[in-house]
Amino acid sequence: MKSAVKIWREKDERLEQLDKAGKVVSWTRILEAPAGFEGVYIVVMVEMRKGKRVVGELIGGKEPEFGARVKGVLRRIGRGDKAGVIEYGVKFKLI
Amino acid sequence: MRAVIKGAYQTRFGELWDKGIKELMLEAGKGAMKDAKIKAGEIDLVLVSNMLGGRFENQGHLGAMATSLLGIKTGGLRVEGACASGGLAVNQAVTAIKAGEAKTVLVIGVEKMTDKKVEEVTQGLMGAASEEERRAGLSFVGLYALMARKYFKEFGAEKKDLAYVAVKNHSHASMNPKAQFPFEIDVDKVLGSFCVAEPLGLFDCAPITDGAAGLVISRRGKDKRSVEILASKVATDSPSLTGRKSLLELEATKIAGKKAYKEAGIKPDEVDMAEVHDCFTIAEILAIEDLGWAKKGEGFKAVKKGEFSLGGRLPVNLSGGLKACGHPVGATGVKQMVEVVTQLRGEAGGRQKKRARLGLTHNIGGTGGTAVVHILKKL
Repeated sequence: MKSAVKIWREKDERLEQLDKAGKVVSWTRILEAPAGFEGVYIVVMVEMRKGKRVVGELIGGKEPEFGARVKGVLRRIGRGDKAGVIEYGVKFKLI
Repeated sequence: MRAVIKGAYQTRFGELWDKGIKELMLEAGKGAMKDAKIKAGEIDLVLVSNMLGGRFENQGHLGAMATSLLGIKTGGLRVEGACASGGLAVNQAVTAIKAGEAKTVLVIGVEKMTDKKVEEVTQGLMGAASEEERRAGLSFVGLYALMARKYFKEFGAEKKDLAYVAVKNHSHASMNPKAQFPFEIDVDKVLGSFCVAEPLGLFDCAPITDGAAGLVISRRGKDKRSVEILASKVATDSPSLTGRKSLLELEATKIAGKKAYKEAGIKPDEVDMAEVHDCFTIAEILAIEDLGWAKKGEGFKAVKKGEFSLGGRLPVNLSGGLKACGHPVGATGVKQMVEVVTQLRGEAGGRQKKRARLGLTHNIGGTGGTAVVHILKKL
């Protein structure tokens, strides 16, 4: 279960890629989501400018290509949980 | 001093509605002791490998739980390293014996998974990954799908190439009465299964399984059913896939493998048969390459040619592997060793590899954060 304190503590890491650009290294479309998530969505692995790799959901529903450029945007993460905490973090969109 | 496996036992794997974590531990522990012909009073230490008992069964303290069930007072503890928990427990048993602190160690690998809903199991297993990967909505299938997609791009493989791994492992499992899925399938069945995380379908994935396995490991044992542990090596890497140098290999496998071959004093192609960590079809192909049995990018071709099937040059996953024998995560690393012991003793029935002298096990935690490699030799 997510606690508001934990989310606050992670804020720097959680928002690090906001508004930053990178390139798609690989991707998958998730059709069987873990508890806490729902629906069908694409997750990308992105290589940022200095070579750091990160993962996040790709919004928009369109399949990327290898090397496609993406940018970090602020979005709601998951469907929330019993504690009622609405979680925000970075997802990616094609640019 | 080298450690020797004297007793080995595996429960049936599958959806075992009538068995809980206690019944599974008891059956595996008793079975291994009976096979070794030893009594509870001769056990110096019990190591229980388990990943999810605390989360799914609300049961911690598994060391004392196992010892009390078996009437042992000398001490027990749980070893956890995600899906590599079993391999790690065996490694720690070997360490205790080599250190002279224990003469005889009982290792019990156990996992009870099928009481929970699929999405809860998927979420629970993601405990072996990183917070960043969980936040991205990834599952383990998704993480291995990221590797598979990159492998396809780099080496020109396709979904059909992965299917041959599942077909081979089901074929082996059809000769294993302890397997969860003891039946054959064909390539069309794999390709026709619904997609879990593109490009991986249901039949690319190891199932959710209940089961346990036990080993009695000792410093003595010269009878002809004993099997010697020539090497027991562990390597670690970033638990997060984002922290790796490459998506095309598991560096921890390469390091643990190299160390194990060196300690055993053998070359990779001297291995007669192996159990490798095929949690997903792509994982077996990466393992075959990273353990030195095929060049990088060529593993999928060798699988298709039958080089790793029963009757091929180096049969891999004769038990059926995680894919078809089943994958009770904490038990898997122990079960792999039970299969190799059974093969080296020449007691594997229809799936017996002829003249098996050297066997290898390869057990992975997460997406490669932990790798454990053991090399076993017939006495």
